[in-house]
Amino acid sequence: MRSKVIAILGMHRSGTSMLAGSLEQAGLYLGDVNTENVNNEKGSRESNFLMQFHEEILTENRGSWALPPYDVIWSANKRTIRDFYIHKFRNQKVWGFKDPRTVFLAHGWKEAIPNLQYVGIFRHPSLVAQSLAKRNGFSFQQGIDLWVRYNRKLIEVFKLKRFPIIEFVDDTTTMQKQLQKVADKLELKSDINFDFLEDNLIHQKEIQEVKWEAMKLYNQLKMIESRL
Amino acid sequence: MKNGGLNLLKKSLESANVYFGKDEGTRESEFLKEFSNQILADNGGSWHSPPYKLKLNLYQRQLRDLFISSFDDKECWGFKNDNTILIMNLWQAGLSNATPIGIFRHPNQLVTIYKSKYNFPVKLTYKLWVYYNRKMLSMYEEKPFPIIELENKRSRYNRAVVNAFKELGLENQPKNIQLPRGSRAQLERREMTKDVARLYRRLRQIKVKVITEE
Repeated sequence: MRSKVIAILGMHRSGTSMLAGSLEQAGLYLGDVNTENVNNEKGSRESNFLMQFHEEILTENRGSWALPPYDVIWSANKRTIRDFYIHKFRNQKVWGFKDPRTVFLAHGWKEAIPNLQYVGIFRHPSLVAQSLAKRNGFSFQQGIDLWVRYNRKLIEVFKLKRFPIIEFVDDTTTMQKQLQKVADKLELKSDINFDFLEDNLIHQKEIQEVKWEAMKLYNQLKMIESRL
Repeated sequence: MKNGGLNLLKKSLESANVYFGKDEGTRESEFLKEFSNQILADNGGSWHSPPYKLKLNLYQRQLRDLFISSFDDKECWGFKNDNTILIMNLWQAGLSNATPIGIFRHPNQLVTIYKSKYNFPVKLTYKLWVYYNRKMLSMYEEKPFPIIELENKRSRYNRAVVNAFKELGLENQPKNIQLPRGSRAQLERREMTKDVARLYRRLRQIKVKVITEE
């Protein structure tokens, strides 16, 4: 059986958990994932295993989630483990995974799953930077720089082959609509009420001014979203 | 143990249709090498300085289970790694129905090999030989399983393998294997230390018997 596989792309603190949880509701199988987390009321929807696996690959490439390397090489051993992981889902019709690091590792997954589909999410750089400051103690500027790294990569992956990208905003009605559009594009159940999305999932802060480079990328992403 | 005949035994098992992975399990074997080395290192040891106590972290347990589940569509599969005997209890926790098969060779052959390959002094080789083979013996004493001696005579090895596979309940017969040059290492004429000699005698008592046809 040829499975349909969807990778959720997006930066930390950008709504990737909300998107993963919502797509799970729409029929996407995520496997054994985290459903409870101090930073996300409904869990990060990440596989702890995959998170560590990805982090190890970044470490092998002299990086980390907080300092992503520019080019990531998958070692032979990591490719073997990746294939073991894929094998585990071979009886699932539609499965997927979410870990913000994936955006830097997408090529390695694509190599093993040529029909791999992506879906992306982004959030205003200022809000992400504030969230990272709260969770990880990063300075605002550090958060913005990291936002640029992740989202620049997201656009790079998008340019290789287009896929739906949405913005994470604090308006549940807008999010509902966008999630339905995304689910529809991915041929998942779309006529549902995405109750993973609740007001308390969004800890919106005041938007602060950010550097030009981040705003340019943000506007590019908004442009991509408008074509959904 | 390393250079103890494991590759040969794996070849015999493969010839009896035991699956070790694609391309004779090259990828799986590389994975096991890195996986077991990492466990030994994380516990402060290595293959030649085995740690006494071993623990797997959550990620390593998940890796082990992922490896096991990669064979879940195979009826009869196996795995081989030089360090398996050191971490067997960690494997058994995830593989309760595994049937072991063991192999050992004369300690003085190992002395010759380890001296030329790793420049190990005799004392260290004996120590390692005892450590690894005592582990195998205590596993056997808990629940017997076929153990083969790697002897220099091809016919004796092949006949032992046939008997061992019968004991394992394998449906297919192994093909006769040509012993590679490395497995015919010179037997140093050296008096073994008492503990080595005692353990060697004991292993010979329990090994799969070869009934001479001549």
